[in-house]
Amino acid sequence: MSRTMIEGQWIDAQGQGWGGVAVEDGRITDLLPARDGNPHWLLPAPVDLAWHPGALEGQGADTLRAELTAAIRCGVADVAVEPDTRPVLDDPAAVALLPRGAGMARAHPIGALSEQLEGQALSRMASLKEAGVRCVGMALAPVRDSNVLRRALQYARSMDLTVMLHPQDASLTHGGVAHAGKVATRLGLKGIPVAAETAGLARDLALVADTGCRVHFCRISSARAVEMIAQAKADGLPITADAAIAHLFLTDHDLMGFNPNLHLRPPLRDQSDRDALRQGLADGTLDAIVSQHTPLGRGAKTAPFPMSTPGAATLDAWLPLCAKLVQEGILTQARLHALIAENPARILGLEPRGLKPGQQADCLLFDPRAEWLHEPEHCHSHAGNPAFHQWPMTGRVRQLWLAGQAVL
Amino acid sequence: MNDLQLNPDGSLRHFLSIEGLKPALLEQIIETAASLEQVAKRAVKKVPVLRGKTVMNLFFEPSTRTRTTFEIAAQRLSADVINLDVQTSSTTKGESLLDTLKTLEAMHADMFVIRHHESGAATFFARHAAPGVSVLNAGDGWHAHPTQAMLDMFTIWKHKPRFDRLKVAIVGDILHSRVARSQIHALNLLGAMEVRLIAPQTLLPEQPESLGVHVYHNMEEGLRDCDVVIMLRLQKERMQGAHLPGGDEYFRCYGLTEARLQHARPDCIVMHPGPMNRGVEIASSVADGPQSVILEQVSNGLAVRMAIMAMVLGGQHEVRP
Amino acid sequence: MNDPLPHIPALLEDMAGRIAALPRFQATAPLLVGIQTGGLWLAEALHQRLALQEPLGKLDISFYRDDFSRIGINPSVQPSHLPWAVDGRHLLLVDDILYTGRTIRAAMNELFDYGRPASITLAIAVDRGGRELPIQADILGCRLEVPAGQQVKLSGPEPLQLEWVTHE
Repeated sequence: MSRTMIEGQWIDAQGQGWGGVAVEDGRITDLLPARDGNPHWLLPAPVDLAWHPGALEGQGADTLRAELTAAIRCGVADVAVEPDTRPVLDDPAAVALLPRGAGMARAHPIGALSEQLEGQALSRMASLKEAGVRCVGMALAPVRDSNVLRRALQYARSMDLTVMLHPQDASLTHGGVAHAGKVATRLGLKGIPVAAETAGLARDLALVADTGCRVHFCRISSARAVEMIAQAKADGLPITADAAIAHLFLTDHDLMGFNPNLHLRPPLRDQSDRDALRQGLADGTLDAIVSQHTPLGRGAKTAPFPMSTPGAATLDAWLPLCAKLVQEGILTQARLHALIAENPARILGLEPRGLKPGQQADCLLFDPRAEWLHEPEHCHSHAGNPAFHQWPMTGRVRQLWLAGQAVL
Repeated sequence: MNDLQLNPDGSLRHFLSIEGLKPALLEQIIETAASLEQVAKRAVKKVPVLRGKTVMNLFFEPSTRTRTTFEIAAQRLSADVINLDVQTSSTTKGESLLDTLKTLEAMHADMFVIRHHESGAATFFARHAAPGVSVLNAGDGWHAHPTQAMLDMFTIWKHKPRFDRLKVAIVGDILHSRVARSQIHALNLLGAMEVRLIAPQTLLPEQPESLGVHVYHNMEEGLRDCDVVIMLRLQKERMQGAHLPGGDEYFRCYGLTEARLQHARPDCIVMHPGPMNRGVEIASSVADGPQSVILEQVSNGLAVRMAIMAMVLGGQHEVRP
Repeated sequence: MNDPLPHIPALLEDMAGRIAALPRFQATAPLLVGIQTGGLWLAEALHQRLALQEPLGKLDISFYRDDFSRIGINPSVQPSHLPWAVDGRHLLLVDDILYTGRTIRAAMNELFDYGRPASITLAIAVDRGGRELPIQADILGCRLEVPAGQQVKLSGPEPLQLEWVTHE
């Protein structure tokens, strides 16, 4: 029986500092006391709740393999794949297309809630569940018909599936490409008002209360929606919610100059929204930080801003920027562990994750001091649409262990 | 915002938007336009500044009127002009737009005059243009129409050279108007005392005050003491998109009539970037009346576009080896 | 040490006398055209001395310069203004300093875009040498030797005087 030590610092939720974990048979047996002199952080291996990889067949399959390999190098062991792939993840055959293999991050499918994500016919959720799906969602697509959504939530609950919804009122979102605010006004871009999110969220919350279905709200973008989530949680609704990394570091002001890589869905909103999202992550209103990694081919962004495909590549920036929230004093280390590993694992229905005795030794060693510039030659992802191009980054992954085995 | 349009020495590399330019540059455009005006009155209506240069008018959104003024302006500067109306559908990919640009660049264009229906299109083309090739924005989506704004400034300047004493009202569909956005920036840069927007909220963008304007929903109040009134064209389809009720309600609330014009200063000038919808946003008696300078705007467009083209192509020495 | 510079009023007095004596101007007085900026000052002074009836024309040759594509547009360009038709008339073109001749070429090009004058006579205050084109003054105030690294410049409009400018 081999016993190994993995050393790295962290401070737990009680304020207790630790210096590593002892591992036997792939499980954490003990926590090691903190000691001076090791600057590296130990974290539970991250789980990213939202990838939009695009095509799954032909060249797309190769691209996805490359990105999943890059994910391991970026320290990301598990990623959830949104169902808006080509083909849509609305049947087991499509789910089976997700690549698996050594050296790649594990891709966990989020099944489609409705056939072809059209928001009309229910998907075959039981079959999807047999194929390993634990969550079903709509990716960024709306369910326009409230009656369809109510039925979908009822059915998903019957199958014990979590539903992931991007809250939106489709008629208010329609045609919009940027936050309806000062910047859209200056640039002459069609706006998506905050009300598009809050009106959708209000309806969705009413249906959660009505059906009792477990719902995860994806990519919350506005301060007002954070308030509504907090209230709904206080009311005891079975909900969770996340925010995407771009929305924690960028605002609509960054659109000045029409950078098509920052054409995102939901749109980047203003400074007060960004601050409220950060606060919501710190105080427990929001449960996860996702990358919303959307690698796109060159052509997708080679267009005037409104014509460009929404989405940005964020794989390489995700962990360093999450860590930056700790370094800036916005999150504690314990909170970071919850937001990028423990909560996402629970939401996805994975084995519980965390730096605690008895749990599987899925951990990440992170050097919080390494400085680098976000440029293609320093990035693992090959995507041509990075949101944080030319940003100075602090922090690099040093090692990754899954079940006690070093995979990096 | 748009450092893309300036050379390191501050001269114009492209002309994409008014925002980001210095007041002195706008004044230089006005003064240069004033110098070029006399060219139209001579035996030979040309100056040789752009001899040997090739200007391509690349219009993705048809507009014979605007295209023609750019064409004449380039010809009066002795440039060779090629007009291209490019038929595109809303599904045309950005890559094929860029292919069009690159193909034409290979034919040794020095300047593209581009009109496109999407905001940011001119910036997109400028970002991808080869060194030594300039882009002049002839209107992109709802974003900017900087040459129109400058010809309007030139027209105002000829009547009222002290911008710091002016109250200017812009009336109508500001939400969808690239002209209004560029005018607002130009008026503020030139130091106008007050810029007002008069429109119902459905025709205003979000937080319009952030542009540096005062907003009025009532025409009479907004026009009070104004020195300049700029009327905007109202597209009839706005009534289908629930921006406005149907019938003549818009004209009853926001149409410029002789009676309403009484609320402005007696020497107030009336402008319209055209083409006008008589009886929709402006009464014929006002459009053709003594305070109207609408026809003058059209002829001023030529000198201003000549000035801007000469300044942009004159700035190319910065980037050419 | 540089040569002492000539006194402009004396030069003008002399030039005006010779202009008035030109056979070409005996039947009809010339139309005066000054080149922005120094040439225009001199033209104004000559216009007064010659007591001409018709107003003065002014040329800004910014749009006619042959080095436009190298140095770009002159940020302080002024409108050219010829308040009469040039066709069939005798013009007297006035500039302050004659150097390469390129300014005069540009000015003549511009004048011909207004029409076809009967003749153009060139009056220059100072010929500083260094011509690159076959252009010379019909009426010349004086010649000056200008050492390398030096320029001679007319300042004005009041008082009109020549001065040395040293370039780095």
